Amino acid sequence: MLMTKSSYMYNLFEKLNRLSFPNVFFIATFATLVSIIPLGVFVVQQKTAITSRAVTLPPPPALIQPKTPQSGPVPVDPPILTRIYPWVGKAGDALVLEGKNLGTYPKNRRLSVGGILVSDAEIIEWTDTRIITIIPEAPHQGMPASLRIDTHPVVESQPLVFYTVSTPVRLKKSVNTVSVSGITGSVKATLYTSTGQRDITVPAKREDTIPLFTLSQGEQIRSIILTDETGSIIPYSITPQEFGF
Amino acid sequence: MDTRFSIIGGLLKLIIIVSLPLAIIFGYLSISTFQTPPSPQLTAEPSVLLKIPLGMRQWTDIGTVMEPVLQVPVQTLQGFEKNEFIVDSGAVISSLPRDWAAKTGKDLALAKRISFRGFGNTISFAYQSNMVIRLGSENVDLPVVFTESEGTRSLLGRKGLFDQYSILFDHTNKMMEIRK
Repeated sequence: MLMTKSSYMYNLFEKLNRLSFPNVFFIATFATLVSIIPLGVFVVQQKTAITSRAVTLPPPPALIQPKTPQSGPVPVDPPILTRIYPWVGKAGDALVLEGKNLGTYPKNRRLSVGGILVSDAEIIEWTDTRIITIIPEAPHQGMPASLRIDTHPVVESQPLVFYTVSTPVRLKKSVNTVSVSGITGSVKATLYTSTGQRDITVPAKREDTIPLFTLSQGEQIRSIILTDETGSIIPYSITPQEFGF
Repeated sequence: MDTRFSIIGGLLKLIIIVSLPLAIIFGYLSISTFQTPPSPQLTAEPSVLLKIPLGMRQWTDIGTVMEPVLQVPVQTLQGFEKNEFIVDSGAVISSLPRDWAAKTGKDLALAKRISFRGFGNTISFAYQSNMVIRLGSENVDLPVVFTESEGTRSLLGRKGLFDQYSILFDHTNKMMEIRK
């Protein structure tokens, strides 16, 4: 190909020829830097795409416990509570109320435990035969669980016992014998069962374990209330395994 | 003659300008191809706490199923005692049979009582506490519930474990890894 002095290519080569070698290397280095950065980014992106072929799905939305339904139908017949267990617990512990005609989150419901109104957030389950709730904060000692549904009469459990982690008195059960420890003075114990109730008054020493009741065959404890000489209710804790909880 | 020298000289310098970047780029690429591992995710050095062979279990009706069972030391009053756990991503929280409460020195009366529904819609209680287990050389404090039934299998559930550690089930090598 004939290259005349006026052609574009000739001018280009002429200009390049006039460049000194240091300038040529400078331009080459500059061109290297300019091209290597976008190329490097492209290569890394390609490698990432190759090494992670798994389909990436967006994270699922956080699951939030569904809100307690606000109003189910009111049961036709009045509610009946047949069993509330465990009769002893701390604030925050689960409590089960069994019965019938309880409705399913019926409207105009009012449940209190230990004299404290249970909020909707503290109700775990409410079916026609069972309510599971959390014992609210600061319940009053010896007060029952109390249930009112719409215009039906209020129904109550046996008295309940509430304790804290610092409660020193412990109720124990071995085979059929219920005993108490960690208490000093005269103690009156009242045992509530499905068939009735009975009392016993015993002297107690903190370091001793004092037998209170011997349960007959099939006799189920509904509640046990301990009171001191002044009639004040004594809080106590239990070892759950011993009482079947 | 001058024209020819100018063209040759210009061409030579153009070749230098073009070929130097290309040589550097392709040289870098060829070296990096040999040196860069195929998958940076796989070769990144994770802190593997525990590597356990995956067990197999033969079910009469289902057949052979891989079972992520591991023996983990649990801190008790008498030191660490090994216990068999199933890694269960379906379990919200780890669980131990109640007889472990006494061993680990936990008073269930002081633990939070929670309810759960069992077979036949029956309600059972579990007691929420914590346990210290040893994963590899690391002691890990995990929330746990002491369940009602003695003799039930212990589970390593999600809370405290799945949100703090990575668990890899390697079906090819039949291994399970717990990584930090």
